[in-house]
Amino acid sequence: MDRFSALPKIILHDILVRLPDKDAAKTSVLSKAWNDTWFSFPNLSVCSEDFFSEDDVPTGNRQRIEKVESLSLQSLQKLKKVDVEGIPEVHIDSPNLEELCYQAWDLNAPFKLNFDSCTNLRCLQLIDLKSTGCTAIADKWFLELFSKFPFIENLKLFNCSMSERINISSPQLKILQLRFCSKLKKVNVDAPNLLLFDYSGDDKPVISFMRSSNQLEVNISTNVDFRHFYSLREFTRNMPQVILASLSLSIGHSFPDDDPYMPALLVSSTTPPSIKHLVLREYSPPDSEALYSQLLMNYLLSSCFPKTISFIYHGRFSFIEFFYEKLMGSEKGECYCSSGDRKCWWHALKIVSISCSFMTDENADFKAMLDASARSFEEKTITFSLEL
Amino acid sequence: MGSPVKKIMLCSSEKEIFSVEEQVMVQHSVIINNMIEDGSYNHEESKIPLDCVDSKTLKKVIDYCTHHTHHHNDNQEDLEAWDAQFLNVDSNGLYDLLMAANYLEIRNLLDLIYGTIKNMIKGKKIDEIRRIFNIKDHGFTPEEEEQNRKEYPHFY
Repeated sequence: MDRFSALPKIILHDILVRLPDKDAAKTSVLSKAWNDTWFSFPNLSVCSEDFFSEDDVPTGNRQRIEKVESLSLQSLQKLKKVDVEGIPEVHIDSPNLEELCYQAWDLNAPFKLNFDSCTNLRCLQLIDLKSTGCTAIADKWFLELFSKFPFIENLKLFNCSMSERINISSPQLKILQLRFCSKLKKVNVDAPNLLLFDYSGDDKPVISFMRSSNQLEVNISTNVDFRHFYSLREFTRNMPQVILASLSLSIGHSFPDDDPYMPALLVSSTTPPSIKHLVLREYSPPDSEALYSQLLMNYLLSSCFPKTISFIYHGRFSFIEFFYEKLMGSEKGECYCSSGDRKCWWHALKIVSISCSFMTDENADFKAMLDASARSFEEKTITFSLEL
Repeated sequence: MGSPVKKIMLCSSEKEIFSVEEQVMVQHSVIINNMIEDGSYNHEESKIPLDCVDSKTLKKVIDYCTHHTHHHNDNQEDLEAWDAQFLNVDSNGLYDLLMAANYLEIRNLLDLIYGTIKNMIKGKKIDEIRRIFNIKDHGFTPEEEEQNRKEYPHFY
């Protein structure tokens, strides 16, 4: 036998892992030894278009297998990981399965997914589950999920339609990611061992944590109209006991002629919840910059104390200069939000270091950065580290 | 200048001794790093026996680790060019390197070799891959081979 065919299975499997599905499948007819390797390969990835490209199918049969309608995997004792895309009906019966990733392609077509017997599942990722007219993931779905699959540690739901309120309760869960799941208004998480919670989406649900680990990291990314920025305070208040590791907000402004309710908030004398990293991404600057900057500053400092704050922008982001002047410049500490003898918490706040994405000179000052940044329209980032 | 560079001894399957900077091997090989850390290597007496690695292969492995230790700040293009030149070996040479890198757990060298093997398979027809890997006897019965060719004509 040739030397490569005689390699230990574990090495040959390492080679298969790195090959595209079709090339990996091809090795099954290379030789008897490679054939054995293929059939002992513990990873299975099924994707109809990759497997059956039009060239592979004799023209007469093309209609017949253009779309795989159903996939059934039965009694595969060693199967550890399944990755399925675009097949509407999937039935998996593999007691040792640890990882399942399912992506529906046709958003409006009904799908049927049954993996009830995979009770050792550790990691579940579901993408694009959106049946028309009904909620793909209702609240009781989570209840059933964690009772059927008690070992789930890693749950990722992307672009799925959900109930407005969901309750997620699991002692095992370590990673939870919800991205662009529609309709969400309230998310209750009771997972004492959760280490990472990621949320991104246009909706801004109220997220609360019942019992939480002190190592929990929460990353949130959402869009917000700058006139609704005051809702940030409510948002940060709702998670006081956890570490909000990063909050990424795209600030825009959609209808310039509206006259929305924009309350000036009272900045309190006690320090608000801190955020390790706040990211503000501007996508459309409003007309009246002065008003905008003042309100934004007011909303920001009444909601949170960012340890670092990054501004991501293209042309010019006037708020950065305003922010810098307030904390470091000639207008330092000038207070517009309260009167009387009460001192707002942020008066002692200062910028301890500045860095940016577009200059490599470590000694460059803020002025030089602004000058350099005015010359390009590429995406730029300026980051301030703040200290009280 | 400070203390002399610490060396360790590696012994190939032909019992040839190679003296290498300790830091170079510790940085790249998980196994050697573990031996140094847990104190099972004695700098006065020990030689690390590598019975499954011949001298030619061991010399190449040491070359790889040395280059990647001293040139890790080079730009990516230069490093990739060096790697490509390094892996310009026949399939037997590649096999020996794979076994050595696997035995010594040199992760970045393993990844490099796997990448090369991947390119030996990806997008190629069965007969071509059989030639590349020198598969003379595929082990299928004539009936099985015919059945495969019929069932998956696009692979051939």
